[in-house]
Amino acid sequence: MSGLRIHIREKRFDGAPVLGECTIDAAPGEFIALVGPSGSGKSTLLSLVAGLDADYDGDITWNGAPLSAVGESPAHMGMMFQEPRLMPWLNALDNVRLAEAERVAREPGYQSNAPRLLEEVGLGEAQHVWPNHLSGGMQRRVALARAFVVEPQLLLMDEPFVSLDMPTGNRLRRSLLRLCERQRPLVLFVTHDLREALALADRVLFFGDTPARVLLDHPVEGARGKDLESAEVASAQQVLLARYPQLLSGILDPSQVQTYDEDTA
Amino acid sequence: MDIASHDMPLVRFRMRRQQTLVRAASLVGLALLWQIVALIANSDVLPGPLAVFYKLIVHTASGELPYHLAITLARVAVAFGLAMAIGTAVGIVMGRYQQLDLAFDGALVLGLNIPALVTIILCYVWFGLNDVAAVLAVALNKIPTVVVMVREGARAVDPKLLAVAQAYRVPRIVTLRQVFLPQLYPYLMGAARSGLALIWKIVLVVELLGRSNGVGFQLHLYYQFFDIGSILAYTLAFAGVVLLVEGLVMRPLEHRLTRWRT
Repeated sequence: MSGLRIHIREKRFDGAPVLGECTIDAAPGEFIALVGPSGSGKSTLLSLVAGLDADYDGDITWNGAPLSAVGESPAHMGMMFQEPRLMPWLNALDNVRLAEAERVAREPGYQSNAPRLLEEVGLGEAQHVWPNHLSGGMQRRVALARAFVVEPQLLLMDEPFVSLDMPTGNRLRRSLLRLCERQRPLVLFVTHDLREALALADRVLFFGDTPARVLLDHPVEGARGKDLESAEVASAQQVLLARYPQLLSGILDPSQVQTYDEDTA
Repeated sequence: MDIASHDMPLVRFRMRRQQTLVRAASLVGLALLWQIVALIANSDVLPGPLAVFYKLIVHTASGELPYHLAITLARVAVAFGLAMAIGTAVGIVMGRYQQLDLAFDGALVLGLNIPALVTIILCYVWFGLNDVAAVLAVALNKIPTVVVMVREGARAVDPKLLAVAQAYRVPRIVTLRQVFLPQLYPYLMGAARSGLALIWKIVLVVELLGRSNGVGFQLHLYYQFFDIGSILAYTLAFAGVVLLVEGLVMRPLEHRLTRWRT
């Protein structure tokens, strides 16, 4: 099968299971949002896919073969974290170039794409500025350029636009979609903001329960790149929450939970 | 990136000039104090700065002081390089691998507390009265303190930044240079500073005990002649070198390594 297949049987932290049985299939180029309450294992799942944590029971494959060697991150993967995570001692350009170091070592004569990508995210003028002279939004732009400089087939985003004001966040989301349009990576986008998920993604996966699993696989109607504050997104959110009132708390069917509570009481 | 930053070079230049003035004034004050005490004491065992300066010129002109000073500096340089290289490597390993830290911690505490004199005597007895033993003795005295400081830094390295390097498959050598070591620079600078201070001192003792040249040997010689003027002249030359190294190497280096903080 083509694309990404994540099959986790179990992931534990200090003996406590955090991720239960879950299977996610994603086609190349698909934009998938992962939504769920904090502590529901979304970020953990991302770090397993990223190869940053090899201690789990399961298989993650790309076109049928293991996505990456044990203890290694996959090739052609871009990643954005909750914080920009730039090296404060490297200027914007060198921060983006750091992600190219592997290509540079592998391909003699490789021409850096870093200046062009910084240009594309609107930081052409700020190439030689240290990160702590850049605003929070600009730092995230550098991180975005870094994620795309590797020409990713797989893009992992762990709440990358959290704690930004609405206009700054909107500009970044537009930049992201524009870059995705050209590069067409498979995106796994973790967020706790349902509107952001509905505005950006083709599909939203809702996480919940302990240990966490995928509660609901929800296809999003309409094209990508809706306005977060549009009526379209608002109504999609309303319909979803009318049907599953406690979805964002990680509960699909409240009645089941209530009987469970009564049993244990 | 704001308007005020236009004036920054000028402001910084003024601040630096002021700092240099303060440093110079404190040195002049020290010399004045010395002259006054020498005048009051009026004794052969405390010559004034002018008398000492005269001796300094005499010994420099004869070529004797530059020769011995150069030998001592060479020993300092080799011992310093050795201590920093070994101490940094061991410190990083101990900071990153808990099991090894546990295994070597006892040896480290021992190394920190063995008196310098014991190391020096043992090195001379075991390896003979030669430069290898001398430099080794100095380095052995310094390595444990470098290890302790670098280990502290290696423990404080941010795993989040290392995760970035891992996610982007940054080659190990690039990760070391651009992600890992920059986080250690403040600790390495601290180790280098305190290291030089300690090594200057120990090299002289090593020379006094088992070498027939170098500043330490000369000091011993003049002590036997009771030539306090020459002893102070050598000390002065030595202090001058220390100030030069601090001003021309350590401070510019520190400034370069931390300029991203501004």
